[in-house]
Amino acid sequence: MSSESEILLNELKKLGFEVLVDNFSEELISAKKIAESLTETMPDLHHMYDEPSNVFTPKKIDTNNNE
Amino acid sequence: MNDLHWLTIKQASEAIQSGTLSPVEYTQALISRTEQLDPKLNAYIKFTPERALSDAKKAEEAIAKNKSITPMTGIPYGLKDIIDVEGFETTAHSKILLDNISRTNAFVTNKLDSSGGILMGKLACHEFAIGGPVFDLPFPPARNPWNINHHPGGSSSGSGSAVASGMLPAALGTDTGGSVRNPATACGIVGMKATYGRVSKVGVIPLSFSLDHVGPMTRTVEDNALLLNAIAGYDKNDPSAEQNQKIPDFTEFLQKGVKGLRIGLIRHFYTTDLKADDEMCKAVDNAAATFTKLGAIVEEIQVSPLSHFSSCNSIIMYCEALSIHDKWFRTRPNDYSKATRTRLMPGFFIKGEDYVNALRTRTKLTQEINNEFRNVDLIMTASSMEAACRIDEPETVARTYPRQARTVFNITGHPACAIPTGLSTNGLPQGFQIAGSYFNESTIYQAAWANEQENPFRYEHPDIE
Repeated sequence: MSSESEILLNELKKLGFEVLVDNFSEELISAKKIAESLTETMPDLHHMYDEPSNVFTPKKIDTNNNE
Repeated sequence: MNDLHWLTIKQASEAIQSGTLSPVEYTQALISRTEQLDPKLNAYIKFTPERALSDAKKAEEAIAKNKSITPMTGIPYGLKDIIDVEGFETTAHSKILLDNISRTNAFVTNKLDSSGGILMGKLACHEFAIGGPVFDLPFPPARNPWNINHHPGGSSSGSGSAVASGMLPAALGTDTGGSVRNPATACGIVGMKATYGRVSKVGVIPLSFSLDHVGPMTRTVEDNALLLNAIAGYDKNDPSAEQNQKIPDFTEFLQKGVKGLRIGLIRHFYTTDLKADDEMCKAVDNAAATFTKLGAIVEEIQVSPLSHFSSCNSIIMYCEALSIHDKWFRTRPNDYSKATRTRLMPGFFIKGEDYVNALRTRTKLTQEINNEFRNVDLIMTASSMEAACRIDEPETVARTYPRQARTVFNITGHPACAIPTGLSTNGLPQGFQIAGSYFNESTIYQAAWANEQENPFRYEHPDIE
């Protein structure tokens, strides 16, 4: 197990998932790899501005404000 | 009347309303059919023949008094066991919820009840609508009626199995990444995931709030439209329900034909992004050719790679699902099946920035599909990349399960329907998908019905006696 994985599992234990980590640490490590592979297959949005519908504008805030 | 179990909703409804078929006689026939077949198919978690017969008598009385008759009056149906029925357990096919008695009906249960439908029981599914066909749960997995050694798709596995085997003419499933359309394709029936917000999810155990849909599963396109007629509608208690939607009669365009309809075929999903097996590829291409023969204008279109849609769906689903399962992961992780546990666990490792990027990607992908609908009336593509594999080979199930093109329309919220095409050389069902613009399920049914009429498969049934 890599030290990064060990740190993550310890964090999970601290968050209250002791039984899960104690019994299923190998499953958790496999799940971590699945999560990583998913993010690798996503399109790169780092240099893209969002679609207008996803951006907060004063007009939108105004529309949503009942006062 | 022979073979009552193969009557469509339409046929049974006409016979019931004309007085040639009694709801009690029809229900009794399906009870007998279920008692004969369910020990082999395990489609039911809770089978309730006494209640069904009591409801059938009420339907008979209502018809005698000509009181609020609908096409669903006297029609038996089943519910995936994540949909609430007052006084019944909603187990989600899980040890964790074995004692979870529902205090109220789900919105869709009320809709079917008030339309005169007859509840036959609660149907098997994948645990919490995400696990797989596994053997380490309190209930056995449902089987595929076309070959009981194969899985029936999922997660609405019991719904697919019960409808395809003639135990029921109608069932409801739920669909977060294809869980209505997958069993529909695997079992050779019709499954519709309507527009997000079309059907209320109140009283349904959530898997992923922003991706979940409730959907009708039937043996014919017309029946599917009739069942959607019964369950669609605004529910003030469902925050995702669309208040301003108009509810048409979804059968309105059935016989209109497809001449002049513009259909965009996304071929790269099943030929390049994922490679469907030869038979499935041919099945989808043949369905497209049928549309062309009938006068539709089918043109290949290109959108983002399928992996963008499926990864986006998975990231959002893992995060939303973990927010529901968090408490049980702390206290009862041993009570999940291994398949469910491992399918939920990636949520622990999705970073905040990846979740935000998935939301941004979702907006972009949705816009992209919306743009396509400016040029075409419908979009068609594959549903599964191969027919259902054996149920007792977990590694094959795990490998083939993600090979599908259904999550696209959970991400975008567009309506999408799985339609059968026929059988593979090893006797298992195949099919394809048609999607439409928002709240345009009627045009999907219009095209699906036209395709179905050209296909002799609609007269075929599995031989399971």
